[in-house]
Order: sequence, then C-alpha cells, then structure tokens
Amino acid sequence: MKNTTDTNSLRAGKHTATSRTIDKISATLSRRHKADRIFRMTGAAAVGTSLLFIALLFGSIFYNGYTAFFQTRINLEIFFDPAELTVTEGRVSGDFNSLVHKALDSEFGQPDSRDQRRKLYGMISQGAVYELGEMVERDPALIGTSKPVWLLADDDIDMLAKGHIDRSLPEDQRRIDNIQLEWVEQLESSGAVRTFFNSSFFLSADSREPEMAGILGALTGSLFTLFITLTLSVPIGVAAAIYLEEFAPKNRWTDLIEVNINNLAAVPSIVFGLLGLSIFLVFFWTSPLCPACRRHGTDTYDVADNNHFKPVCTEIGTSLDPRCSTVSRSIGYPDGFSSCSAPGRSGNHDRNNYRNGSGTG
Amino acid sequence: MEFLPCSYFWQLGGDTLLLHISTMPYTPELESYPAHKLLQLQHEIRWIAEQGGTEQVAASSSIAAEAAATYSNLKEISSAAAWAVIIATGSCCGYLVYQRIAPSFKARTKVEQMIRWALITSSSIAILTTVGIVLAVLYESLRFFALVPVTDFLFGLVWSPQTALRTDQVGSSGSFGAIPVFTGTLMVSGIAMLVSVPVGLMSAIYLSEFASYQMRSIIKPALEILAGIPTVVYGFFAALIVAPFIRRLGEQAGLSVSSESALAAGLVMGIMIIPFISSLSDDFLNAVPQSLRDGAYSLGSTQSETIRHVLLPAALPGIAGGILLGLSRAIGETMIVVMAAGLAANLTMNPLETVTTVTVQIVTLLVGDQEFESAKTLAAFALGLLLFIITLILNIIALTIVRTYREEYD
Repeated sequence: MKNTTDTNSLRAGKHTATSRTIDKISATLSRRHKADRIFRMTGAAAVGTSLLFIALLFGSIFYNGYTAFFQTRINLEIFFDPAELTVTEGRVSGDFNSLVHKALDSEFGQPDSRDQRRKLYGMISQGAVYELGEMVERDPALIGTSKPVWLLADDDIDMLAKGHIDRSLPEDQRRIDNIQLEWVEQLESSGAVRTFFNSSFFLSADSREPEMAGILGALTGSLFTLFITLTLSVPIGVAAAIYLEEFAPKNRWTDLIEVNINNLAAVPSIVFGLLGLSIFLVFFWTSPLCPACRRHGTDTYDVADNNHFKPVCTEIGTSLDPRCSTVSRSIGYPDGFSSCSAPGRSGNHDRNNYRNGSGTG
Repeated sequence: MEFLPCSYFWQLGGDTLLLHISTMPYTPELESYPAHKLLQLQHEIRWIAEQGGTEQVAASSSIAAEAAATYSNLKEISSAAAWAVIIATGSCCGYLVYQRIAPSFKARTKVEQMIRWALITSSSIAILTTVGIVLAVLYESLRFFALVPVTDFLFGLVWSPQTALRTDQVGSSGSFGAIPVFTGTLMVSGIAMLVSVPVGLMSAIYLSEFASYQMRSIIKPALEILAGIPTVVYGFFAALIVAPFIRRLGEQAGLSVSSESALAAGLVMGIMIIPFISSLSDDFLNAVPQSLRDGAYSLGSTQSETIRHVLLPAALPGIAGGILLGLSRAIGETMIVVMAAGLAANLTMNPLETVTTVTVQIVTLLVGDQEFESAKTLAAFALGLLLFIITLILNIIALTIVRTYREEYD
C-alpha cells in the first residue's frame, strides 16, 4: 500500500496551499515507514517463532524417541542341548536359561565369582529365552544341533550400544560395569552386536523389561476407547446438528442448546472425567469383587502378589483375606466407597476399580 | 441384541437381592457378624458360585458353600424369568403393532414424527450432559462441604490434603485451602497467555494482512498442526526437554530453578494455545469489511497504522473472546501440568518455583487408592466444581462476545 503515500506526495506538489501539512507528513514519513517495517517484522517473527516451536517439538521428540524403534541383539552360538530340553506332545520344556548361560560361558569363559556371573548372564534379556523356546517349538529338529542366534540384549546393553551411555564416564557413574563394557566391546569388535528393527515394540504389551515392552496393549485400549467414542458421538452429534440447522425453530430453547453445546466443547476434560467417575460409582455399586481382585482370585494368588497387595489393602485399613475382597471400612459408613488395586499396578488402571459398599452393607 | 442390555440391568439389580435372600436362612448366626464380615461373606458366596463349586468350596465355610448353592439356583431362576419377561414383552408389542396396521394408518407422518423426536433428543443430550456434570460434581462437593466448611475451602491458604485414614493417626486432619492451588493455576495459565497472546495475535495479523496467498496456505495449516497434537505429547516435551533446559539456563544465571517450575509448564501450554488464538484472531481480522481498510488507506495511513488503529479496534471484541476461550482452555488443561508442574502447593509468585494446579490436584487425589467418604477424595470434586464454574463463566462471556460480534458484519 505504498502507492497511497506516493499519490499523497504527488498531490502535494500540485497544491502548494497545503504544502505545510505536506511538510509535516513528509517529515514523519520515514519514521512511519520504519514503524511499518518493524510491525511487519514483528509479525514475521511471531510466525517464525510458532514454526520454530513446531520444529522444536517434533525435532526433540523424534530425536529422543527414534532409537526406541530399534533393539540391540547379540549373536551367540547356542547349543540346543538334548540333555536340557524335552519335547512332549509338540511342547518344548526345559531350561533355556542354561542354554544362554552356557553360550555366554563358552564365549567369555565362566567367571569365577557369583557377582560376575550374574553380570554376564544379565547381559541377555529374559525375552531371549522366550524367543529360543518359540524357535525350538517351531523346529524341534534344532535340538542337538548348534546354531548362531541373535539374542535380545538387556536394556542397559541396548542403551550402551545405541550410545546413550557415555563409555568415558568413571565406572561408578555408569549403569554398565567395566567388565560388562569389556565384554560388550569384545562382542562389538567381532561384529556380534547389531541393532534390529524393534518389532516387539508394536507387537507386545507392557513389560517390566524395557527391551520387551511394547505399545500393543495401550494401542488396543486407545482403539477401543476411540471406537466407543465414535459410535456414541457421531450419530448423536450429526443428529443434533441436523435438528438445530434444519428443524429447530429459533427460540430460547434452541438458543440454550446451542450455547450448551459450545460450552461443553470448552469444558475441561477433567470435569468430564469427574462426571464419568460419578456415573461409575452410581451404576456399578453392586460390582462384586473389584475387577482386579477377581482376576487375582485365590487360585492365582501367591506370595509375591501378597507383598504388593498388603500395603494397598492395609492402607484402606481392611486387609481381610488374600483375595483382596477388600471390604473397606466404609461399610461402617452408609455411603462409603472403596477401591483396591491390582498387585504391582497403578495409575489409570486403578480407576476402574471403584466400588461401593453401601448397597450391600 | 436389543434385549441384552435389558437383561443385564435385570441381573445388576436383582443380583444383590438374590444374594440377600441366599444369606437369609442363616440369619441367627449371621446377626453376630460385624458388617465388614458380612460383606466379605457375600463376596465369598458370589465367588464360589462363579467358580461353580470346585476346590474353593471345600476350603470355605459351610455357610458360604450352602448359600452359594442357593444363590446359583436363584440366579438360574432369575435369568429364566428375565427371558420369559423379555419374550412376553416382545410378543405383546408385536401384537399391538399388528393390531394397528390398517389402510388409514399414516405411517409416513408417524415416522417423520419419530425421527423428529429422535433428533430433538440427540440435541438435548448436550443439556443433559451439563446437568449431569453439575449434579454429579455438586453432589460430591456438598458431601465434601459437610466435612470441610466452604469458607475454609475458598479462603484457606494451606493446601495439604494428605489425611490419615484412621482418626487415631498423626495428622488426621488435612487442610483444604484452595487459594494456593488456584494461584498456581493462574500463574501457569498467565505465563501461557503471555506466550500465546503476542505470538498468536501477531501471527494472525501477519498471515491475514501481510503474507502472500501461497505463504498463508502453507503456514496456516502448519500452525494448526499445533492444535492437533495430543496434550500428552506437549507434557512430555515440557517435562523432558523444556524444564531441564530452563533449569540449566537458570543455573548458569545463578538462579535456583525448580525442575518442575511453573515457567516450563506455562511456556509449553502457551505453545499449545497459540493456534487457538491465532486462528480465531485470523477469522475476526478477515471479517472486518474491506471498506474499513480502504477508508484508512485513502486517508494516507500506512499498513501497520491501518491494522493498529482500524482493524484491531474493529476486531477487538472477537479477539478478546478468542483470548478468553484460550484462557479457559489453559485453566482446564490437565496433561501438560500433570507431567510438568509439581504437586506441592506453594503460595508463591516466583515462576521458577514449583506450583501445583487445580487439575493436577484433582488427578492426584483420584489416582490410586482411596476411600470415597474421606475429605481427601471428595476434595477433588469440590475443586472440579470450582473449575467448572470458572470455565463456565469464561466460556459464556467469550461465547457471547464471539456470537454477537460474528453477526455484526454479516
């Protein structure tokens, strides 16, 4: 829009009577144009900042996360010892752990101390044992033969191989001991350490072993939630829109509905969470055992679980029996609710376990 | 398929009744039982009945085993009765429908009417939801206010909801002053607005007034990507990247920065809100009629003067509405602050310190194990109620502004 100012000055030349005003304008013109440029640059800077934020967000998340798509494996010569493995009706049983241990021993020589043995054997993930089991199950002819196998490495070794652990740090500040580092370097020099595409990340559920953990369980949960949400919201939402646009008379009631819908879109999701919780409490108050406890009923109950259970149940003050039919002391109160949680789990999971003692008390 | 939920509710309601009937024959013995033992027994009965009476039965008491047998028996009868009722109702309805079929029957009008009512119902669900939220949250909040006075909650300066579970424990009375929690929320959303309003507004001005058509068609969708990112990703970004960065920066400047500072959470939340502000502002700047621009240019104003003195004042109410909507989103934002803000309720004005927010507190109070008659858990509902009221007011103001303003130039 510089043209406007140009025409201004042109016109000023013709009408000398207004020359004083024009002088004033000309004097301020460069300042005004400068302000214009600054304003424009501020705008460009704002856009640049927003784009920078996007780049930063995606860049940092990709940079921090991409190595999760790969997993480290160690190549070891495994002897499928017939003395260790037995096949009964197509199912293989046996001590696959000892196969791995023997392979490690033959590679590095069995360490003398118990501690070092633990460190050596700890380099291979527990997942490798399952994989070996599946391998033999698929091909029982392997038993008695010897074969190099890429075994899943432990998460610490994985981190080391991917360069997330600084090898130059002193031993006591590193998650990997000098001796383990030595072993890994020996393996690396012989090309026995490699990263593979981490398919278990997509195909397995949560695990306590980071190298075996995957997102399948969480993804399934998300998809179920998504499915239910869509089946609920699409028909109702479309129907409401059709009514409001095509049928509804313009009156107070439809006005109220419209304001309501707009408002609901802006209500914090956590408030909806509170609504959901209340509905859960009201509708499922007769739920017998909480789902988690039912799953860990007497038949699957063991001592290890008890350790997880105890703090939970005693915290509620009502640890009654191993089944964790946790009867909260809320029975003493007409409107009490209680929950108990699955052993060793926490977070969202527990939120499904509320129940109320009032109806049955 | 249609009958399934019906029979489900039948069982849901009837189940407890059956259980009571099953335990009835043993009343004299059971009367001596304390309440919690009774409930335990009921669970046991249900458990045995579900197991179908295997080795568990032998291990359990004879009372439970016998009751379980009665219970399963009654349950079978109940489900048979449920089916009988369903079939009877179905055939009754079928008969009634058959009776009404006649040449004079105006099926089309009836169908039209039914569709209309279905549509009305769908649109009224929004109101139902709002009423549901208010009632649910209000009900639990009233229970909370029966335990903790409203004035203590609204004006208390200390928030420490960790109540002991038994009255004889140390520190059995928590304090539920919401002020530190709300100042935390205000601080984090304030920082967020400080980031998002200038950046969002200036981006909108640049994109709608200066940028070429091509540039606009690339950058606008790019900015809207920010609005589509799940907030948990932002939280991740805040907690793992921004917070340590700010902390290191502060350390170099000789400041002590908490690793869960309000600044980190607010900054990232600000990034999240940029697209809300920019796209709404953009809409309103574009809605200003071209005649106003032309008028300003013809008076000799530069482009920036036109924007500052004509466009912005004209679009101001709409922009203000957009900012209020953004603020309400910031106040209710949960995931970012859960991941990046702290849990300690500090009453502080220092953005480098840890603060907590309303949403974080609600999450902390409800995650994990709790009992639903303690003030600790019910406090979450009181906070939720307050949050709902605040965002409701903000939303209504913003929506009214936006609505009336949108119609002004149409």
